Amino acid sequence: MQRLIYWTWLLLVCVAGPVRAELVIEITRGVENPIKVAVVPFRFQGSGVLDVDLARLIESNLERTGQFQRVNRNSMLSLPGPNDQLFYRDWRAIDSEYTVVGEITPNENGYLVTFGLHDVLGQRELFAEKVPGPASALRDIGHYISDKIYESLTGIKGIFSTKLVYVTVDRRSEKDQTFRLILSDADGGRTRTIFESSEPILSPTWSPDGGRIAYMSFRGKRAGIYVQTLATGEVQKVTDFPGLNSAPSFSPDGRQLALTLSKDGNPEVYIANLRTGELQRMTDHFGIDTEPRWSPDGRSILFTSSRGGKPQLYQLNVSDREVKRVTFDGDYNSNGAFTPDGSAIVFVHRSNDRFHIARMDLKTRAMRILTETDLDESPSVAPNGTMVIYATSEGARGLLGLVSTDGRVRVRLPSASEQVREPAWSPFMN
Amino acid sequence: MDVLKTIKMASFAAAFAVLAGCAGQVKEDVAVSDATAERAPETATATAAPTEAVSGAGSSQASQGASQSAVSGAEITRESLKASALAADTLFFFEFDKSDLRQDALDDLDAHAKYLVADRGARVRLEGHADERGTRAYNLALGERRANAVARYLVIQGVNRAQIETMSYGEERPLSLARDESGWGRNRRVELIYQ
Amino acid sequence: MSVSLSATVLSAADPLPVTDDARGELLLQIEQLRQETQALRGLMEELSNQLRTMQDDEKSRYLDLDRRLGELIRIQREAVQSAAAPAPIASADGTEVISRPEPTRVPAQEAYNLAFQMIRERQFEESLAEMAEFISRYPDSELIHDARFWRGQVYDVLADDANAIKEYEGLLAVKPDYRRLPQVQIKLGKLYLKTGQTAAGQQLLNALISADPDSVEAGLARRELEAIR
Repeated sequence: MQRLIYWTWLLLVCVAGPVRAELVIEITRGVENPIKVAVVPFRFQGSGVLDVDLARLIESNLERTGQFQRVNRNSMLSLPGPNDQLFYRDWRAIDSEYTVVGEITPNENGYLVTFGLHDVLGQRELFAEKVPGPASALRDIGHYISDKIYESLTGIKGIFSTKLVYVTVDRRSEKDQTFRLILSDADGGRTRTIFESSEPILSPTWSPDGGRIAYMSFRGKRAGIYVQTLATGEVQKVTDFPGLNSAPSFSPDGRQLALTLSKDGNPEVYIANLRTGELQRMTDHFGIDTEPRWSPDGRSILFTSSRGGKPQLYQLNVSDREVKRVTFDGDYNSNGAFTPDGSAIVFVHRSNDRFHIARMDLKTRAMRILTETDLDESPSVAPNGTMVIYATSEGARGLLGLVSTDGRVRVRLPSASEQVREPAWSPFMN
Repeated sequence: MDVLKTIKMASFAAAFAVLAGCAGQVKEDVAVSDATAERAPETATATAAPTEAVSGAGSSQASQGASQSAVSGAEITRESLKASALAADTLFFFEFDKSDLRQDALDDLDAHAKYLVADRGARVRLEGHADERGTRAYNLALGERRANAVARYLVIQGVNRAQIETMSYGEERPLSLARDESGWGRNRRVELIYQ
Repeated sequence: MSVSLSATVLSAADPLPVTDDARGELLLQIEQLRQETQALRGLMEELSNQLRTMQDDEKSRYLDLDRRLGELIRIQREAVQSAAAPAPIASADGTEVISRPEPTRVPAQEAYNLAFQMIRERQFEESLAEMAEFISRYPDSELIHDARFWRGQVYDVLADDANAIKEYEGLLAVKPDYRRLPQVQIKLGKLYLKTGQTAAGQQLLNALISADPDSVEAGLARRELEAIR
């Protein structure tokens, strides 16, 4: 009997940082038998109370993958530190399969965090590590520890140290809106506004090294593609031709940008060289050609085209510009993106008049609809290929959702902002 | 095969509509040269919400307006054309994932076209929009196509392309936040704005 | 007449060329043609995709048929050879004559599959007999180890511990490097513990753990050992 487990509780993520309240995470559906992990509250060897609860951060991170389930703090029989002996029987008694212990010691540079991961059934310590860092980097250390635990237990590289960008909108009327480009941790914490405008901001996307964001925005009444360097805030204008300048996508080497321009009268896909500014027109059709997305090997570009009367995904060979249609199910397939290994694509698919995120294996051509909500769009795949972040709606609100690439785990990330959209997952930062 | 049939039928309907529009233009031109007459502003008040507008009801109304004679002089003609253009609707609506002009838009567009032809100094901005369904970048392209469809119609009516500026906001500036056809139908539009 | 009239009027006000009906109609026709081309293109893409899928299907169907036919011919040959032995009859022109087909012997895999299917269909008693029959009929087949493994499993399901133990022990004795060895060990170990042969059970399970401590079976073994403590 397949029985799915539904969680209804809300996991509050610590609020920090200068910008408004942050994303709140809610798991709507997880895997059948999540691994139970007990994260013992980390001992603080200094005085006072820290503003980050590392144990909470780690258990929330693990739980958000849907593959893990936390063990309630109140049920723990003891709260050992990394140097104490662990009585495995105590942890078995409360059904913990793995137990994480840790402590935080202040030193002259900030903190030294010591942690260990124990296999309760195997009755042994899997590993222990000491992580130093400045006081301001405590959350980073928490994400790092989460990554280590996740990788050790699943064999897959963790994505907790990665980042997100997305767009929020405050709407007062049709013509009076504030658009913000927001950068945050992968758990939605530590938000930072990196660009703000009264005109729309669209299609933010990461450079392969994670150092720059390309997006579309209007300066004055004119649309343009801009590349912003995160470390310096420096902004480079790539194009602002009359007509459309939209949907940028970095090439895997970070030197070129695929984008859509209609300067020649019709939306077409171009490749812009970021250093020389040189433009190469890649498509030529009187239908709409847009939403280019580079393949991980850099050899092809996936894009949306209405050349067949309805929007469908096509694959363009960069070297000879040959175009091949990729999607055949349904009358609306658009905004495609490759998984990091290039074996599959995720995209927006309309079925029964609703818009969902779907995944298609490129070899078998088997398609699978991953989401059940409506108006789902802007899918962006995590760098380890396990999750897809996307924009969805609930009533009048626009919010973000996470779904595992096999469709088994779903998580909602509602936000304090009424309208959250256009998420993009960063590459691995380390 | 059904698809093709539908498209063909729609195309015929559109062809008829545009031809009717062109014929109307010529007729009006004659009227202008004869008597410098123009339809009175009140006859052109097609300001009813376009969703409710009855399609195909406009052309006879337009020719009626031509019967009224007025004082001679290009200046006055321009002013009266401007008055009827200002009275005409400035919102033009579209079907989902389509950029063909609807028939009920043509009379109002004719009024704008006549004024823009008479006053070459006048400038107009066409902002294309889409509803929230479908993806944002695609809708941006769709909005542009809609603005271009209106621009093309105006140009056919004799407006100089240089008088027209087009741009697209995609689905970013909805008029209505209703998440059903009542809202979506209002959001799939081109807004015509005199500069 | 109307055209020339309007032309004069407009040129008086504006020197730009006049847009006339013909041009408008042309633009409209282009637009129509484009839409129709797009629809046709879409249809063509879908049809060629269907065609490709059908061709692929056909090819795989052909290959499947070819494989089955080949199998059938091979079976027949084997049957002929065993029936015609020791001396194959030769015809006058020297070609081999295929004699009247004897009741053919089902190949091992198929007989095994048949028995295994019964387990799937939960016809346990019948499957036990069928597996036993298989073991005696195909003593040279590698599949007899699997047959024995499944007989053990079926006895286990039927709670016939003694017979289950007998099957598993027999299998371990004959085939100590059986590919499902850890599974056999964990099952046998559990049966030992269940039937009171605690020492034997512990020994077996500990051996299993030390052979590959990270395996799923090792985890299970640990749990079993914990439970009796």
